Amino acid sequence: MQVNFYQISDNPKKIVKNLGTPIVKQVSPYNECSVSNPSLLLNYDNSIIVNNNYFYIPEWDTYYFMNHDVRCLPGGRMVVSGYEDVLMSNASEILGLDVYVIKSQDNRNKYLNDSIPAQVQRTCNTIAFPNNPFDFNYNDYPYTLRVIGGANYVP
Amino acid sequence: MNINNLFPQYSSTGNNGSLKYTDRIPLIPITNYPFPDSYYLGYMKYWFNWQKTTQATHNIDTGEIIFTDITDYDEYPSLGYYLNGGLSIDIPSNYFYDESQTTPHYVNSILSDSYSNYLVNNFHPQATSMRSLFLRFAFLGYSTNGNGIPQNEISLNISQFLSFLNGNLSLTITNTWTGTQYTLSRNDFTNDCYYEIDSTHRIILCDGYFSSTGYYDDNNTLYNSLLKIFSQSNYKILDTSLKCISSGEYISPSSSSGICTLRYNGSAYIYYNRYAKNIANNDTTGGVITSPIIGHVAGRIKLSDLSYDGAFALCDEDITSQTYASTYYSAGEYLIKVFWNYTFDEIYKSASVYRWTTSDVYGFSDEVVYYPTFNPDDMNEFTLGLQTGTQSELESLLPLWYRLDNAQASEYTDSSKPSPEDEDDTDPEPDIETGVIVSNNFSRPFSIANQFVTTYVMTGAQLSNLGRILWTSFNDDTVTMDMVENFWANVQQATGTWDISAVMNFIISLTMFPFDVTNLLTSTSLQSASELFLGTGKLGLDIKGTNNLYVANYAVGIADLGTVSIPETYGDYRDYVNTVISVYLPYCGTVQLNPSDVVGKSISCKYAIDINSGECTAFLILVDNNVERYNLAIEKGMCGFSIPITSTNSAQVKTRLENNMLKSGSAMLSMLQGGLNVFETALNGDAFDIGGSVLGFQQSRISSKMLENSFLSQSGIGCNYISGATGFSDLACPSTAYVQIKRGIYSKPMHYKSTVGYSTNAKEYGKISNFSGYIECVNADVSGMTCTEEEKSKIKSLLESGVYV
Repeated sequence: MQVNFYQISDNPKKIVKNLGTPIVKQVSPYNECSVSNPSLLLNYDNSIIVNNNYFYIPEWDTYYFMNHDVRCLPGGRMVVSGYEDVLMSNASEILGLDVYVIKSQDNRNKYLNDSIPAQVQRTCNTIAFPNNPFDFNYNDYPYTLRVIGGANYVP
Repeated sequence: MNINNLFPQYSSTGNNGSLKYTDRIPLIPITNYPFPDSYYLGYMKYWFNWQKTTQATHNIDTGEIIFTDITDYDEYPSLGYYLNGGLSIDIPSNYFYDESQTTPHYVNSILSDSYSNYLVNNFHPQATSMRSLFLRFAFLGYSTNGNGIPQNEISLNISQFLSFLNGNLSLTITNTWTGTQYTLSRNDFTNDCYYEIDSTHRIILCDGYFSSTGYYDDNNTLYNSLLKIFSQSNYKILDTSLKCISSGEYISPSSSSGICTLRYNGSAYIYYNRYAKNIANNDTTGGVITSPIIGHVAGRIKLSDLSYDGAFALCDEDITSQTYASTYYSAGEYLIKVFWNYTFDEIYKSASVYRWTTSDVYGFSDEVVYYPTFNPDDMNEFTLGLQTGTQSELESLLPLWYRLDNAQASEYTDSSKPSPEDEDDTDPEPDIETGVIVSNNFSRPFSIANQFVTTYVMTGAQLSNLGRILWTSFNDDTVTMDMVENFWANVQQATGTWDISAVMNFIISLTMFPFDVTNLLTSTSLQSASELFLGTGKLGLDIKGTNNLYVANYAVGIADLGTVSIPETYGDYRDYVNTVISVYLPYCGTVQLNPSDVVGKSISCKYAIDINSGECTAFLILVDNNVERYNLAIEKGMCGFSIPITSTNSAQVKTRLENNMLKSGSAMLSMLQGGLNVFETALNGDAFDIGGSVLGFQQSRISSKMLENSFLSQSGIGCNYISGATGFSDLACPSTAYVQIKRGIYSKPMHYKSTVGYSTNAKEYGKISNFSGYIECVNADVSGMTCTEEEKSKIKSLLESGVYV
């Protein structure tokens, strides 16, 4: 069956990977070949080993991350194995899912705590109230004297 | 809505006229088609800051306005124009040209390359003073991708574009004359406003500004470069007015201190100063006017060179009653308004229908000038200076920005999401602080005017006089021997005894405050007194001296310490988390406040002070939108200090007074005076000195046999802080109330949003394809997918741990 080998540099958690031009190879399943973790037998090609890290099996319409463990067999053959990229393989359905998003790169409520780490230091800003009535001056009227009676004070 | 708020406020003083961006257009999505057949695209405004005789002439044919007879321009040097609104320039899409390189770059590649610096060559900065470059981009965003949802496609592009502006862009401009490079630092761009024309078209406004030193765009080089930078796929820049100031001919080449600020906000901004060229002297090259010349021209603008494909009208606030004359240009503001009479589809088509006119009577047609004479400060109540017109026509003259600001958001119609009515757990409306809750009684209702007790308010000198009379010290002009003798004669008559204890028993308390008590009380709360009377009306003491003596009618005085604002620092949750806000209240202590209560608001502080007991009550009141809402805290304290002068031993003292002072005792007098001086010194000093001096008095008392039997009671030596809980150490504390805000210093890690993501609204619900970049989902429902259960489980786990869209 046909396998398209790619070299990708996207984050594995990216739903839709950017794929370049594929290298198309004809392969055979190796031993008992799992669909989710396939092992593929193909003619030895060092460019696959050197350049590719991702492949797609059109017949199964599934994308795979290529395992580093490529095994070379006698007779000019090699076995390439991989595991399914469930995101890319089901990208169209995933993109159509209705979900609640709690963390987002671009949609932000800035007043929700993002737990951005704070340094130990603190800023300390002091703002004085504009009026200060507590300015004692002997020449002003800072004293009160309470006396009994004293009702005849009126001039 | 004040139309001026739509634009950054301009300061003609300080910082060489840098723009101050003080307000932003609120985010108001609009779905109603905003344009009638005839509509307003913007306005042009020019203003005069000088206040002396000003004249201007205009030339209809050339479109020139020339201002003359501007005197004393050094004092009032400001004259400016700015023009807002704009039509289209059709920029080749998806094209980016880097002046510093020889090959074109596509915007998308720029976005992905973390482009950090853009070099604009062929730029002529001629001035070195501070400049600001305000940018407002009006984009026509439209969908070209039939595979996606048009609106989302536009939103995605906007998001990418803003990300590009905010995350990557800085501008470096080069003075090709000197080789000097200037870096324009970027300030945040936002797309605070857009309106939706239809499902595939939106006009988006993006605001932001750069500031730097020393640029002067005499050839529009910077602008042209910016056009190339900011033009990308799916956008057209709705703007022509940048062309309006294309020529340096009408912007004087400034000297090193000249002012020439350009504002690119989908529009032009021209600021003239005293360096404008001197037309009267046939100065065709421009330059610095080095001396004030009466009759010189401060500046001019040639409308025909504005290249603005619209109609211009010049009017003042009431054009219906004005004629076009030289005196028309007096101090004040005038508007040049620009209208466009085409359908929206023709916005970005050029036209050449503009007319300069002086008439105030026009009918509506496609090619005439309209004169809406609204006051720019009151957009809601403008009147139209037209004699004809219908309501719809009047409405058609509402400016675009007014429409944007007053439009209502459309109803939620996305059928792919559950409608709000389907929600069974809709949240109640959040608590909103409304109404005036504060009902503190600061009206001084506590009258103490009665016949039993009188509270005198006196100065330190008056208190000293009282002491002299009581303790018979008459060695200055204020207290004479006659006064002392008369007093004691009255004492003997009133009480039948010469015992001073009979006098002292009339005194209840003496309290010192760290402030002027008369400032605390209103004039109605105070009453002048001729003498200080003790007990009956016979025991009067003239202690006034050179000042008035007052009696307090109310027990409580109110001190208003004013209001302080608690600003946000970060503008997000960090202002509330890991933030400690405390308020220091003199004589009451420190109060800690909840940041969520006060950040972004103001706090008012008032003291209610009992002038009898010295007790004080501090009120911290939340002020929101200049309205006092409620008490954040009420704290009790003591700010009065008791100075006891009653005495259990006064009889002994009185005996000595009788024997030694009233009869002859000059030696005694001097010794007593020594003690009194200490007491007086204590009174004269500040609070610390009182304690220290009294301590000194105690020491002298110990060493002086005479003073062993002092007039001061054993229990009354020194000044006690009334509260008993605190002492004089409180006086070492600041006397000014203040707010202290302690915040953590946050260090946002690199690539935080693209690797961790920001928290979203709890109801951020929608299709994954509607989001971009990094997202984390909660409890993703994958049940509808056609893949295997194992795959679903993996997908669910991945979505919840974070994926990139």
